[in-house]
Amino acid sequence: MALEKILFVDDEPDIRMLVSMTLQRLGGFQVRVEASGRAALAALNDGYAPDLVLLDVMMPEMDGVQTLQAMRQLPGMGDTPICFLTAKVQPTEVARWQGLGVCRILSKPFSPATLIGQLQESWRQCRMNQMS
Amino acid sequence: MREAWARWRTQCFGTYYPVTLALITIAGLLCSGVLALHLRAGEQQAWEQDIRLDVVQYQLATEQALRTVIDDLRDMARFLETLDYPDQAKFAHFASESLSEVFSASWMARVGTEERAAYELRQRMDNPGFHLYDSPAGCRPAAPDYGYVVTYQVTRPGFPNLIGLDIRCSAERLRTMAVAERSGQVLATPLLSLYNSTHPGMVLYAPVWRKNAEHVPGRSAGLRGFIGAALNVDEVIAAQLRRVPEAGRYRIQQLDVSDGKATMLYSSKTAIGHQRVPWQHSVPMQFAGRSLMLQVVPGEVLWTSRNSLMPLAVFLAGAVATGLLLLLLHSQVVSRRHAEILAIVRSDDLVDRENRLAALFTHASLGIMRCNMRNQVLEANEAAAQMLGCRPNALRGRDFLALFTPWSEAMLRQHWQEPVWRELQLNSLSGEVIPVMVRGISLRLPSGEPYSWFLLDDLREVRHAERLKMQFISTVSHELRTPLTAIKGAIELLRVPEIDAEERDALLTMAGNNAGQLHRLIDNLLDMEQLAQGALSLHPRQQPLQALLNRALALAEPLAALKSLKLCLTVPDKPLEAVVDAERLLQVMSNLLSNAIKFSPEGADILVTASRDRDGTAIISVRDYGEGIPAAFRTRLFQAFAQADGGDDRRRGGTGLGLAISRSLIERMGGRIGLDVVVTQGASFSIHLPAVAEKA
Repeated sequence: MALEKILFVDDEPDIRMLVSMTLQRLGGFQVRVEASGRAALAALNDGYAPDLVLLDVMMPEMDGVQTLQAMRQLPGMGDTPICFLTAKVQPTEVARWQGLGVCRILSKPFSPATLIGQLQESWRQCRMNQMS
Repeated sequence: MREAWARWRTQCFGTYYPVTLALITIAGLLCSGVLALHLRAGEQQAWEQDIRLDVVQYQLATEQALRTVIDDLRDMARFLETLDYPDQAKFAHFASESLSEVFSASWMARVGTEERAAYELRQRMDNPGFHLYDSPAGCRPAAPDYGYVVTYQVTRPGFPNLIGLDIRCSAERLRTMAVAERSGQVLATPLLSLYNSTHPGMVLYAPVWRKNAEHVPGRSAGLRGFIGAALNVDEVIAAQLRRVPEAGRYRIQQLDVSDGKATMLYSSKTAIGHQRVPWQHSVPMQFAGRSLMLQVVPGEVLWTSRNSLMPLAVFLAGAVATGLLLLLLHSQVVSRRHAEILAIVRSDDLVDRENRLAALFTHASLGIMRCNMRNQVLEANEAAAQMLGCRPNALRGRDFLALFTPWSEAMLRQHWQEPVWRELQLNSLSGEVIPVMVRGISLRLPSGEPYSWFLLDDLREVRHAERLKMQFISTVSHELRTPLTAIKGAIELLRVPEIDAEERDALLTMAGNNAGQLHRLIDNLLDMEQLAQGALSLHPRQQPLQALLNRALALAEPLAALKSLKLCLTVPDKPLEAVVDAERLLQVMSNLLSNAIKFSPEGADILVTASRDRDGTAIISVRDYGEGIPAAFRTRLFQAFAQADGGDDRRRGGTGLGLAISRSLIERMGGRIGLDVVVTQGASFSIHLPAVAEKA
C-alpha cells in the first residue's frame, strides 16, 4: 500500500491552497481539503477514506485535538495516521497530543518539499506501528 | 539660660530623680538637725554661762574670800603663835577672849547640851553683843555624839561681821546657804575650814564672807601668817577648777571634801552620779605641835535646768517638714510627668501618626497580619481578610498556619524562627487556593514578648497577567507564523516548474495578501505598545466626518465583496464636524468594519450611521447581523489580548488588539467607543465624539 489519499483540514484559505497545491502538484497525492473539523467529519461520514489525515490545531469551534478525538470514534478511522500541522508548538501540548495518538507533529511554516517527505515517513511509521 | 534651667530641671526630675530626692531628704534632715543642735548649744551656752557665772562668782568669791580668809588666817595664825594652848577648850576660850576684837570664830566642839547652855550663858554675861546663831532648825546630828554647831558672833564697831558655820549634813548645807542668801547679807561662799586632824569634829575657823563687805586689813593680818605657808591660793583655786570636770558638761551639785578626798556630786544632761575626785589640797598642817588639816570646800552651784525637749522637737518638725516637701515634690513631678505623657499621647502629632498608621494598615492593598508567638492572629487588615474571604475581626485568634495549604504550612513551620520570604498558598474560606508572596518578620515588644508581622502579596493578578502574556506571545507567534507559512510556501512553490501561470498568479496574490496581513499585525503591535507608553502622537483636526466615513467604507468594500456583504452609509445632510485625527479614525473604522465583515454571514448587511446628538455629540455606529458577541465576552471585548484568552473565543485573523487600540485612539481623541446593548442579532458598536461649535 502507498500513501495516496490525504485529508487536510485548516481554517485558513491560503494555507489550504498552499498545502493542497503542494501535495497535489508536488506530491501527486489526492488531496481533499476541508475548512473545519465539522466539515471533515462530515466528509468522513460520507465515506471518504483517506490514508492520512493532516489537521491544523488552531481552528475555531472545533480545534485539531477535538477533531482528532472525534475522528478516532468513527469506524475505520482508528488506524489511520493523523498528523498535526501547527504554528503553535508547546512541549506540554506535544506530550498530550502524543498521548492522544497523534502520529506526527509538523510545524508551520513548512517547506513544501519537506512536507511531502515527512508525510510519507509518518505514514510508513504509523502504519508499521499499528501493524506491530 | 532658661533652656539650661529647663534641661537641668528635666534631668533632676527625670534621670536623676532618685538622687535628687535623696539629696533633698539629706539636706532637710541636716538643716533641722543643725537648727536643733544650735538651739541646744544656745541652751548649753546659757547653761554654760550660768555655770561660768557661778564659777566666776565662785571664783571671785573664792579668791576674794580665800585671800581674805587667808589673810585673816595668817593674822590669826601669827597671833595664835604667840599663845599657848594646852588644849582646845582653852584655845577656844582664848580665841574668843583674846581675839574677839579681831575676828569672830566659830568652832564646833563636841559638847553636850548642858555644856552648851552653860557656855551660852557665860558668853552672854560676858559679851553683851553676843548672838548665838543656832544651827538652822532641823539639823540633826549625823551621829549620836555629833553635838551642835556653835556659832557666835562678836560685833565690834568697825569690823565686819563674820559668821561662820559648818554643817556636816549636805542637805542642811543647801538650806543654810539658801537661808543665808535670802537674808541678803551673805553670799554663799566657799568654806575654808580649818580642821583639827586629831579631832575631826573641831572646826577652828570657817569664814562666811558678807556681801559687799570690805576687806579690813587689820583683821586679816593676824591670820595671814598662819595660812600662808601652807597654802597657795592660786593653786587651790586652779586645783578646784581643774578638779571640776568640764563645767559645760556637768552641773556640780555638791563637792564634799572629807577624809582627805573630795566627793563631787554632779549631774549632766543625761546622768546623775557621784564621782570621787582625788582631792589633793586637803593640806595637812602642823601648828604648835598640833596637826591640822586645811580643806577647801567649794561652794554650791545652784541648779538650773533647762528644757531639753525643744531641740528634739525642732529636729522632728524639720524632718516632718522635709518629708511633706518631698511628698509634695514627688506628687508634682509625678503629675507633671503624667501630664507630659498625656500631652504626648494626645498630641496632635501622635494622634495624627496613629491615625495615619491605622489608615495605612486598614486600607493597604497588601494583606497585613500580626501574630503572637503562639501562631495566633492578633490583627489583620482588610486586604488580608478579603483574600481569605471573611471579615478582619473573624481572623482574630485563629491559627495563622492553618490558613495555608498543608504544604505551605509545613514550609512555614520549618522556617518559623527565621524571617520568611517565600511564595506560599492560602486556603481561602471559599476553598480557593490563592498564591501569595509571604513576607514575615519577627519583632519584640518592649516587654520582651515576640510577635510577627506578615505581609501577604496576592499573586493572582500577577499570575493571571503572566498567563495572558504567555498566551498572547504564543498566539502572536502563531499569528505571525500563519502568513509567514503562506509566503514561504508560495515562494517555494513558485520555483516548481509544474506550477502553471494561473496557479503562479494565485500564489503571488496569496503571498502578497499574507505579507499585508503580517504588516498589519506588526503595525497593530507597534500601535499597542505606543499607546501603552503614551507615545502615540495624534494630529486632530476639525473636519466633517462624512468624507472620512465614505473613505472607510470604500476601503472595506473589497473585503466585504468577498462575502457579498452590503455596506450602507447613512449620514446627515449638514456637515457633521468633529475634531479627529483622520488617519486614526479610519483605522478605527477599518477595525470595526473588518470585525463586522468577519462575523457577518454571507450576503448580510452592514449599516454605518453618523448622527448628532441633542447636546452636539457626534455619533458613528456600525451594525452587523452576524454571530453577535457572547455575553461572557462582552465585558472583555475592548481589553487587549482578550481574544488570546481561551480557545473558543479566538477570532481568526486578529490578535485581540484591534478593539483595544480603537478604544485607546477614540479616548485620546476625547471620545468614547462601546458596544450597544440593544440588538437582537449581531452587534452594534458606537463611537461618541465630543461636540464642536458649529462653523458659521
